[in-house]
Amino acid sequence: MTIQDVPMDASRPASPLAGPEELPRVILIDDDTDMLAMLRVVVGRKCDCEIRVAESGAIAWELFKTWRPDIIVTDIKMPGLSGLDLLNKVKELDPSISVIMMTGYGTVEMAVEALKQGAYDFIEKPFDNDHLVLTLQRCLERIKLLHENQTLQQKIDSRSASRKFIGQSPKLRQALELMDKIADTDVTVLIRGESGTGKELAARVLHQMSGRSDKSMVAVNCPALPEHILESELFGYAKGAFTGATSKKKGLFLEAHGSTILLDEIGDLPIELQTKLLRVLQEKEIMPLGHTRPIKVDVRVLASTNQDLEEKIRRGLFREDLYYRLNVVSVTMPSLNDMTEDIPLLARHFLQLYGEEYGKPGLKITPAAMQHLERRRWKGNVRELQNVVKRAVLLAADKNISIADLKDTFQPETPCEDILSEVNSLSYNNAKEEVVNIFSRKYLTNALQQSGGNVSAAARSSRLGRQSFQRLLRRYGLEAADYRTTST
Amino acid sequence: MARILVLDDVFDAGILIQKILQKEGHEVKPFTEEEDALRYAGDNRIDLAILDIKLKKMSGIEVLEELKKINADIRVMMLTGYPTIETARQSLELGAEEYCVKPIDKDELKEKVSKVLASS
Repeated sequence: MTIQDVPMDASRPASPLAGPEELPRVILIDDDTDMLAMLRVVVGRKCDCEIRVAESGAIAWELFKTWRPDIIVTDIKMPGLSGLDLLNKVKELDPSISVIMMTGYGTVEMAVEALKQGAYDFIEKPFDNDHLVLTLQRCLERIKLLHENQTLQQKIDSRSASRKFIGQSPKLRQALELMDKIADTDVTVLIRGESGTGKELAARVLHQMSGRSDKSMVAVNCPALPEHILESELFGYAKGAFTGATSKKKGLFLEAHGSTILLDEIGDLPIELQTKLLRVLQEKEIMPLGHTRPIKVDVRVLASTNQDLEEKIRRGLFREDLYYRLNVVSVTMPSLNDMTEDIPLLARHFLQLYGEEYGKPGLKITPAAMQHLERRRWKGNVRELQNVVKRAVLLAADKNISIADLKDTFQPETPCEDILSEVNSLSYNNAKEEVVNIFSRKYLTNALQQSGGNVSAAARSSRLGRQSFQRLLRRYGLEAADYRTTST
Repeated sequence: MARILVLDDVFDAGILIQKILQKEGHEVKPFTEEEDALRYAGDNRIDLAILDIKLKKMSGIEVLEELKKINADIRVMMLTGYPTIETARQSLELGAEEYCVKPIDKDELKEKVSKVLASS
């Protein structure tokens, strides 16, 4: 007899249910040590599982608490804790565990009792080894199915857009229902909505709920890259296509082959590239620079914008045919002012999120402060609300967040020393982040005020690139349009 | 008071159970034929069925299965002179509430019946 082929691994941490790659865990229990050794060998050879043994119910119970098994095979008649007692204790703690009972003094009453208490099966000694193995294999099969069921259930749960978005307002529900319907198709989707409404999140959810989710989504921020770089980024180029093209470049469309590409801020796509994008959408092929033959690609295109594309078409800045190609289905993310009833829900969600992140659990927003949140205008939408709550969490002196904690920080009259004294109680990193926040908002607001809402001019005076400046505006929830002096 | 169906291929055994349980205030209908019992269960509302396992044509386990198809709410108690762990396991899997062994003590029968009925 050898027990060397029994897989053992003491280092693995306890887990209530073994994951799909992990072997199921079995505890064998019998006070007869010869019997136990025999069981271990038989089960170890014939069943694909990890095995531990115990010589008494008490030892098994201790083992059970630290090394959660999936199956327990136990003798009934044992000194101390009997098999039936053990069954009771185990089932009380975790009803999902399968318990197989064995006994040499099997009475029907005992079997009935054990089965009624939730034993998986009842085996009479002496038994045929094959009978035990068969029972155990059937039990392992059941556990596998249970695991699979659990995984699938989780998958179904994650396959609903509503799991990723918070809110009950009709407009949001409408958007989410539409997303549920179109997610698992290859249809091109135009995601519209003001800045900060969750367009990129919507795109990610659409991707995750699609059959392409095993590959990661490629996101391109169109205005972030200069025109000529954007082209080679999107479509790639061949080696030697132009001076400096010392090696070939794959391009993001090819990168997204079999997956999804998100073209963020599509309204800023230069008109020349719009023509090329149209070709991709129509022919499903790309033509990298320096290539003579097009390459077929299988990419689902999602595009997002916060601009009025129809107006851009009228002004000749956006191709109408591309617009219709992109706008097969359009999902509109509601602005926060369209879903004011969800503000308390969202505020509490962010409160909990940041409360945990910054180690300040149990914070509450006072009713007056909540009313303030519901009534004020949210130009930066959910993102702005998120930032306001985050700041309030960082600065909260006690458990209650009052209106004062929610007030905008970049009021010009706030002297620098006041800010410093406010953040003194925070950790260095959080305090620094907060001060930088306050500074950035103040700086950007000032620049925009000076330029009368002209982004290019404000960027120039800040010695920043236009795209970088816009990125900062988005991060701090500011809108250039709010500072325009001339009426549109 | 509950409506109880008893199925036992031995006529006297059924009558005995009827007498014991009627004294408890239950309405008891004894049968010796499987078909009769199933037909009765299909036409009448029954709270509890007490089934022998060794019957004439079918086994009590099969009758249990049929009864549960007719009405899943019917509570079932198996009562057999030939108990095996296998039939006990099968019975409980198919939804029987109790599995008792003959000969059964009068008081034990009363107690088991009232327990099963109380669990509804």
